[in-house]
Amino acid sequence: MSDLVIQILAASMLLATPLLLAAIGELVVEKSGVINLGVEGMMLIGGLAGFIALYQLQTSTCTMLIGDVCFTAENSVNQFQYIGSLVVAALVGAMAAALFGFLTQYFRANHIAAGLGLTVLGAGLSNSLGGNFFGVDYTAAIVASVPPLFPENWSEVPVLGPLLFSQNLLVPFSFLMLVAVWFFLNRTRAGLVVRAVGENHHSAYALGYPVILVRMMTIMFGGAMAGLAGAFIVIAQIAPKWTEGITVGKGWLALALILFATWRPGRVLLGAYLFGIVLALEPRLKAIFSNMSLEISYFLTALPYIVPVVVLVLISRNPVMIRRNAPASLGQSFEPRS
Amino acid sequence: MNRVITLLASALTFGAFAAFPAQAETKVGFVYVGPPGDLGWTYRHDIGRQAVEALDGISTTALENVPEGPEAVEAITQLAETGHDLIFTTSFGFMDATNEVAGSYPDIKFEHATGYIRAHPNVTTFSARFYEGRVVEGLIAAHMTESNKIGYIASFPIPEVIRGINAFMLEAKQHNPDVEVEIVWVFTWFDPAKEAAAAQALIDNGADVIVQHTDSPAAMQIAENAGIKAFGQASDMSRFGPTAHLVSIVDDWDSYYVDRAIAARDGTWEQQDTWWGLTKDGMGGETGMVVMGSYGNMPDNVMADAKALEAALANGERHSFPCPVYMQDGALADDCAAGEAHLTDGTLVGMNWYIQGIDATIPQ
Amino acid sequence: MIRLIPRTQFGFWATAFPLILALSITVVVGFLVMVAMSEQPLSDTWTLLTFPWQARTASVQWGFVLQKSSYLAIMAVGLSIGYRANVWNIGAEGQFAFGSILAFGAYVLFGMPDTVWFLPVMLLFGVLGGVAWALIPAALRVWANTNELLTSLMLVYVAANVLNYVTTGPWKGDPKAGQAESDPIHESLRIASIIERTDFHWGVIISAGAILVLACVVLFTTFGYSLRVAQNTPRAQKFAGFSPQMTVWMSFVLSGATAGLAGAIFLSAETGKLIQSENYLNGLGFTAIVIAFLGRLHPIGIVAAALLISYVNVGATYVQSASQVDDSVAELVQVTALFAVLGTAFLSRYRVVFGRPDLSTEGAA
Repeated sequence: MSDLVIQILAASMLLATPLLLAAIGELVVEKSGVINLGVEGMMLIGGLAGFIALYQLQTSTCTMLIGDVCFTAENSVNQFQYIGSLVVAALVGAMAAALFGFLTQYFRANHIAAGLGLTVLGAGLSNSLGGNFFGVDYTAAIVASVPPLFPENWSEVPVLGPLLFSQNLLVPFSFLMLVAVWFFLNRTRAGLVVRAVGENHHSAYALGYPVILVRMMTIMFGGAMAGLAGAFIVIAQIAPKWTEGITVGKGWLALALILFATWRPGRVLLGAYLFGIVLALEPRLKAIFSNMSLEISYFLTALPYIVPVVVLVLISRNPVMIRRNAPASLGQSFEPRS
Repeated sequence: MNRVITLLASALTFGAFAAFPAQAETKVGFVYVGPPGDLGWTYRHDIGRQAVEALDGISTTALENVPEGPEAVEAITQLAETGHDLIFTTSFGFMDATNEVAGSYPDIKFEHATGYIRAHPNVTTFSARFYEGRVVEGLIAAHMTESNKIGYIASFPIPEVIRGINAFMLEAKQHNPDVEVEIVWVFTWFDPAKEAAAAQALIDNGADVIVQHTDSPAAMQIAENAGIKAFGQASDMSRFGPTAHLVSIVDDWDSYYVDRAIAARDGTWEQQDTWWGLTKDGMGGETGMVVMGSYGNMPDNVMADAKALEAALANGERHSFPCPVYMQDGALADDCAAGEAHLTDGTLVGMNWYIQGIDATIPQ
Repeated sequence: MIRLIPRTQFGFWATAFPLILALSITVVVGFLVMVAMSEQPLSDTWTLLTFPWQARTASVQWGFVLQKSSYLAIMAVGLSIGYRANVWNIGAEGQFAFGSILAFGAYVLFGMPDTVWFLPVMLLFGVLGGVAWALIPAALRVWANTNELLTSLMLVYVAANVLNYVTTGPWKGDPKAGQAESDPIHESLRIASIIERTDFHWGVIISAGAILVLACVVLFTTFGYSLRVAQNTPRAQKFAGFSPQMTVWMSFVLSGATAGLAGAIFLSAETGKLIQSENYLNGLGFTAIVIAFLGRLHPIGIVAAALLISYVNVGATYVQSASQVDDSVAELVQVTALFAVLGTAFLSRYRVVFGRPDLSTEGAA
C-alpha cells in the first residue's frame, strides 16, 4: 500500500511541476496587477524553443549522427546542455511575454484579449516553426534523455529514491523558486513595490514608482517561468519529444491554480500537487477497477477540470480572503492621470 | 542498369505523349488527420504518399492536421476544387465528409481509409487487418511476461480496438493460461502525457509488458525507462525503446497507394473494398498493409516461434480467430456454433464483445 | 517626446484611422509571413486574395466563407455583450457542445420525429442547452463570487467529456463506426442548402436574423446602453436600473443562447449526428472570442471581422491544396490582425502628440 502511495506521489510530482512553475510566474504577474491569459501559448513557444536548443546543442557535439537522430554512448545529454536549453526556453518565453507587455502596458490593450491572442499565437507559431520551418522537422527529431540530477543508483533508496533522487533538475528548482518568490514578495523592498503597483497603481505612480516598467518586468518573469514549464513538459516529463499542442490545457490549469491559492505561494504548492495527484490517480483507478461503469470512467477523465471549479467555489465563498490577497488593480490598464 | 532502362522508358513515353496534345499530370491529394511527424499513423501514410510521388506522370499534395468531422468537408473539397484526380482520406473520421464531397464531384475518385460506406460509385474504401499483428504480439507477450500481467493502453471502445484486444488475448492464453490483461481506456488516439501516465500506472500495478493501441511513442519511452518490454504501434518504434521494444505492428500503405494511383493515371480505376492483412490475399501472396517491424529483445526460440506464426498467418495456414472461440460468458461464438472454421469478416467488423478470459467490461 | 492626450471629441477618423492602420499592419505582416513560408510568395498571396475566382466553382468557396463566418459571428456577438460589461465568458465552446447535445437529446426524447416541423424544437432545445451550460458559471459568479472566466473555461472540458460519454454510452450509434458517434438524425431534420452543393444553407440565414436582433438590443435599447456604460463605470449602471448581478445573468444567458443555437444549427446542417468531442468541436467557440475583439465588440465590426477571417481561413486551405503552403498562415494572419487591432485601439481614445507638453493646446482640446 505504501508502495502505491509513493508511486502516486512520484507520478504526481512529474505532473505537478509544470503547473507549479507556470503558476509561480503568473502569481508574480498578477500580484503586480496584470492578468496574462497567454500562459498556454508561452508554454508552447518556450517548450519548442527549449527542444530546438537541446537538439542543436546535442547534434552539434554529436559523434554519431544517423539521419536526424543522434546516438550517444550514454544515451543522455549532459547537464550543461540541458541547462542551456532551459535558459533558451526561459528567454523565448520572456520574449513572447514582452509582446503581451508592450500591447497591454504601452498600447493599453485589453489584458484578456491580448492574453487570449498570445495563446492563439503560441499555438500557431509553434505549429509552423516546429514543422519544417528551420530545415529540420522537429516533430520527427529525436533527442537523448535528460540526465538525472543524482547518481543513478541513488534511486534505489527507499522512499527518498523515487521521490527525490530520481527526479529531474527542474523539480527541486520549482521548490526553490517558490521559496524565492515568497521571500521576494513578502520580505524585500522590491517585492513591496510590486505589490504596491498591483494594489493601487495611481498611488504607486504618485509615490514615484515606475508602474509600467515594474509590470513589464513581472510580465517577462512570468513568461520565463511559463517557458520553463513548457520545456519541462516537452523535454523532461516523458522523454524529449516535440508534438504540436503538447501542453493540452496545462497553462489554463496553472491560471486556475492562482485563484485556488488566493494569490499565496504556499497554497500554490498545495494546489499544484492536489492537481498532480488527481491527474496521477485517474489511470491507476482505471487499471485497478477494470469493471468500472462508463459514467464513472468519464467522470474520472473530467475530474481534473471539475475539481478546480468546485475548489474555486469553496474558496470564493469567503470573500474576505479574496479581498485581502487579491491585487486590487488586477486587469486594469494603467493610464496616468493628467 | 535498371535506372538507365527506366530513364530510356520515360524518355520514350514522354516522346510518345509529346506527339499528342499535352497530357496533364495526374494529381493525387492526401488528407491527413495529424502531422507526418507523429511517427505513427500519419507518418506511415506520408511514406505511402512519397512512393506515389516517385511515379511518372503523378504529383501529390498533402493537407496535414485536418480535423475529423465537418471541417474535413472543406479540406477535401479544396483538393477537388484545385484539380486533383484522386483523393485519399486517411482516417475513419473522414467517412461522411468523403462521401458528401464525392457526391458533388463525380468525375473525381475518392479513397477512404478504414471506412465502410461507399455511397457513390467513385468512392473506394480500404483497411488493414491489424489484428493479425496482435496475434503475433499475444504469443510474444505470453512468453515474455514474468508477472503474468499485461498492460493494454486502449483508445476508444470501438470494434477496431476490441478486435485487437481479443486477437491478442486469444493467442496469449494458448501459450500461457495464467496471463491476465489490464486495460486502460484513455479516450484519445494521441495525447503523449496521458498515454505515458497510463503506461506508468499499469507498470506500477505490476504489468511487465505494455501493449498500446494509441499513436504516440510515449508508452514505449516509459517502458524503456522502467526497464520492461513493450510493443510499438503504427510505425517502427524500436528507436524509442532500444531495450524495451519487442516488435511493432507497422502500417504499410505503399503498395496499395501505388497500385491505385497508377490505376487512376491509366484510367483503370474502379470502385473496390480492400481489406489486406500481412499479405494481399491472405494466402501468402504479395506483402499487404501490415508488416511486423524489428523483432528484438527476446530469446531466439520466442522470436523463431513468433516469426513462424507470422508466416502461418501470412500464407493462410492459420486464422487469427480459429474456432472454437468462446465469449466472455462462456458461450460459443455464433460463427463457431454455425460450423464456420473461424470467425467471419462480418463478425469481426462489428465486434463489440470480449472473449473468454478477459476480466473486464467494455465501457459502453 | 511622445505623449498621449485623451480625446474629447470622437469623430469619424477617431474610429477609422486605427482600423485602417491595423489593416495595413496585418497586410504587411501577413505578406512577410507568406514570404517566409512560401516558395512563390507573390503568386500565392494573389491566390489567397482571389481564390473564389480561381477555383473550379466560385459558389462553393463563397458558401464556405458564409457558413464559417455565420457560426463565428453569432457566437462573437453573443460574447461581446458580456465583454462590454466586463463579464468574461470564454467557454462558448462548451455551450456550443451542450447546445448540440440538448438538441439531439430533444430528438431522442420526442421519439425521433421524422418531420421538418420538429426542426424549430431542436433549435430551441439547442438554445436552452447553451443557456443551461452558461448559467453554471453565471450562478457561481453571482452566488459564490467565483471567477467566471476560469469556471466557464473549465466547463468546456467537462462538456467535451459529456459529449464523449453520450456518444460512447446511451446514444451510441453504429457499432461498426471507427469513432464514438450517435446514429444520424432523420434527413428531414437536416438544414438544407440554399444553393445546391454549397455550404450556404438556411442556418446561415437563421444566424444572420439572430445577429440582427441582438444588434438592435445592444445598440438601441436601455439594456444595451446600460451594458455599454457598465464597461467604464459600474456605478453608472445602477442609475440605468440594472444591478451588476442582472448584468452577469443577462450576459451569460445571451452568450449561452447564441452558442447553443450555433451548436444546434451545426448538428443539423453539418454533421447530422453527435460525434466524440475531438472530432466534433473544432475550436469555433474560441475563435469567436478573437472575432469579438477583432470587431471591437461592435456588432457591425464583428460581422466584418468574421467575414474577413473566414475568407482568409478558407483561402489558406485553398492555397495549401493548390501549392502546398502550410495553412498555419491563416492562424498567424488572424493573430496579427488581433494584435494590430488591440495595439491600435488606444488611438481612438487618445491623440498622439509629438513634442514638448504645450499647456495652451491641451487646454483648448
